[in-house]
Amino acid sequence: MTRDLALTSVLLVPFLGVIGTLLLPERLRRPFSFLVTTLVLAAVGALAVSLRDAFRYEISGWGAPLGIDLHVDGLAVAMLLLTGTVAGAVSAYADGHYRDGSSQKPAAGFWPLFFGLWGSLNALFLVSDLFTMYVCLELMTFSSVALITLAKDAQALRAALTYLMTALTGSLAYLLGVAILYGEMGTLDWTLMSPVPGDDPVAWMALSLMTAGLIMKGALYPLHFWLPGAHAIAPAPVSALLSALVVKAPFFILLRLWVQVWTDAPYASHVLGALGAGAIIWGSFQAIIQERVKLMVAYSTVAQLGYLFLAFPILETAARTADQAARQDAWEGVIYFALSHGVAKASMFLVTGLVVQATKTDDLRSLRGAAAHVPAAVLVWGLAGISLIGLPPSGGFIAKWQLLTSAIRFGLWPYAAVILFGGLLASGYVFRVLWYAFLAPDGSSAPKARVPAVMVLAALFLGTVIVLMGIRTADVFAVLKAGSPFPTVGAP
Amino acid sequence: MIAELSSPFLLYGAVGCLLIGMGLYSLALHTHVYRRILAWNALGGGVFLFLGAIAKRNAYGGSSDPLPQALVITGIVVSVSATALALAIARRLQTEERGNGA
Repeated sequence: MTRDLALTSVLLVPFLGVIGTLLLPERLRRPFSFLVTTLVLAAVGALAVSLRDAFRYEISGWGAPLGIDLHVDGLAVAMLLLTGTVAGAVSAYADGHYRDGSSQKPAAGFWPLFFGLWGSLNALFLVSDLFTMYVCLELMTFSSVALITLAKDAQALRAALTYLMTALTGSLAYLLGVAILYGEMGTLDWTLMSPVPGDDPVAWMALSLMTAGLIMKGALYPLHFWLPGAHAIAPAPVSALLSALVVKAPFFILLRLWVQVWTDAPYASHVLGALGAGAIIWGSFQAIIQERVKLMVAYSTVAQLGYLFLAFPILETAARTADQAARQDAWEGVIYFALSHGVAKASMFLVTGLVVQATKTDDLRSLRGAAAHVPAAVLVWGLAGISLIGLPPSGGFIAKWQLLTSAIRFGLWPYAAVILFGGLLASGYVFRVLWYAFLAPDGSSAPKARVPAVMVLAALFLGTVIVLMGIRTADVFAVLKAGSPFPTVGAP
Repeated sequence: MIAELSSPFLLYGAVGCLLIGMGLYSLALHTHVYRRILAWNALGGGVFLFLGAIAKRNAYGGSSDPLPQALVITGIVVSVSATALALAIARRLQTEERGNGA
């Protein structure tokens, strides 16, 4: 009962937030959005605590072929927890960001779109049919595009339009794949169509179309062209949401499709792996040569998404081994990477926003003296940096360690080399920022503005989460055990 | 062969694929934003027609499969909102650029 209540609140309360923040008068908007955020976080927490095993929930009692079912398992709940953590921190940060006198008044547009984005992400992680996932993807895209246009200049509008057209083309490719798959399998529910026979050419065509569409939306290496512009131009809280959460949604669907539905894809997964390796190397080099911090962080997202796509060959090989512990390690490592990258990238964008607010520019050279002026921001940048590089104690270390050991264990040496080289490249751009931050400020620098304390606290909260993820790993792994495609038989 | 081609679902499917091809071709060819939005709509129309063809193919007795029809209706709602959003942004971009250029 509590479980069902929590589940439906996770889905419905954000959309109540959309309506409420649109309709309520200005003075009630802030307490109302605080209330909605708290309620959703409580519901996600209750769902995570009460999760013992994967379960299905039929919305208003309609069964699978006609109604929409929810499929709740460890992966879905882990993504909900990531979304909740990042969205909670971003809402606190945005509160400070939009109340500060220096920025204009787009707060009216921010809150409905923010809750719309949160709600569509929550729904996407829970639904079990591929068409409803398409609708959620579109809702998510519309909210994120509209959030980018909050920056209100021609450059932001152009970036938003490029993003929208790319994402729309990608979703039609996905929809066509879903249509073909429905014609072939007679169902839209991924749990019912699994496992798809590996020698069915029509189903393979559907998978190719869906994958092509999703990597366009998820900005995998050759199709990432829209990402740096869109993510770097948006206001800081929006960039954090886009880079940490929005690009994870297509990856989540791909993970379901390639690991849990098409269980037999021995060669095709290496295509995704090779593109991922290209993304790591090309994205990291681009990040190192950027002169603007926001663009640097955006290119770092391109690179880090590459690691997520290395997951497909690793998990495919894992599915064919008999070693249960090795399979479980690979699966947990992949999801943990998505989680730790989300938290680290969100905190990086929030910190960049703090520095921009204090110094009015995001030029790398203007960071001189930032360590003395905004020490908390530089501390969080350092924490996020060690997570991206993969140094302990951070979530990124655990995730990278598991990916690396899995790659070596399964004999996938090229991927292991790319993982290690990528860490080295990541340290290049992380330390480049720290280098400038610790230089003595030159006398010519303009007087710095103060930033509201709540923004610093939001960034510090995410920094704490990064460290906690490096220490309390077992707590997250316990959630992932529910409904894992690689169960450990006999384990408690 | 000709008799097969004239069966409605094959015809719908073929026209749908033709529209998809035309839409993709124009999306790749054009840079002007209104043409791209139109091309995207043609592409969407093709996908919906393809779904309609599947509904017709799965027909049981006299009635078509209702599920793809429901998907098409939802898809049309989504694509109308997408078109509206794209046009709104394109228009604001145009006014913004005019304002700066004048």
